[in-house]
Amino acid sequence: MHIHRFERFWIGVSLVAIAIFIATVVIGFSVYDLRVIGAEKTVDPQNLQETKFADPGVRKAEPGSEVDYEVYVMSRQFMFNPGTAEPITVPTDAKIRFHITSPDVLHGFEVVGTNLNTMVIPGQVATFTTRFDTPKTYGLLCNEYCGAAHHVMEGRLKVVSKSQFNEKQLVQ
Amino acid sequence: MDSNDKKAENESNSETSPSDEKIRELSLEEFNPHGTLALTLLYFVLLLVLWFFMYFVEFAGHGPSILS
Ligand SMILES: [Cu+2]
Repeated sequence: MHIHRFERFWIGVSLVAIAIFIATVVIGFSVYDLRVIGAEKTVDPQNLQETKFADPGVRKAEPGSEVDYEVYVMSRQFMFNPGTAEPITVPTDAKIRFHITSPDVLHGFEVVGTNLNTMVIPGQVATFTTRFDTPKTYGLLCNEYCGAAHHVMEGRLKVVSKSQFNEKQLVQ
Repeated sequence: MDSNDKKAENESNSETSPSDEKIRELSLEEFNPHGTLALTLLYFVLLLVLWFFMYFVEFAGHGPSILS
């Protein structure tokens, strides 16, 4: 089959463009270390009192863990616990792993203005690890419709500098 | 020359209409749509620039991000 050289040229350009798109995603994954929410653990949403979600909040990670702090957040109609009544407080320059679940209906957990965003599905634990470089207070919001007061379901995530972080506030 | 004159002339000159007349014959290789080529290249440039903007500025630059 005869193909005109202009057509051959832009077929070639499109193949190069596809290669560039794939390369950027690979660079994002390797150099920038960007990940997505992976496989989730499952829990019984009716029996969360037997899990760490019964006493949610920021905990020091167990020795030998690859992260420094673990944050357990219960998302329920229509609040984040912690987050809404009192802010989630975490330090800068530490690896922080969030575990989020819901005892009632589907919620969302979005740290506003960042790439930290996950669905919160009853029966599943959404888990992700991140690190904050600068102290800042972020808003939290539920971005999945969860009922009549969904629009007021919000909270705060306070990132304080490592030196100001008070470990006495941690959940033991 | 207005359109009526043109029409009259065509009718008098030949049976065929002007669109049927071959002015020049081109093989496929001699047909070079440079305008289309320029537009296609412009489109690819735009596509790549916007992709880099979306991926590296709007997504990767929107940290903190999920690390694992
Ligand atoms: Cu909600």
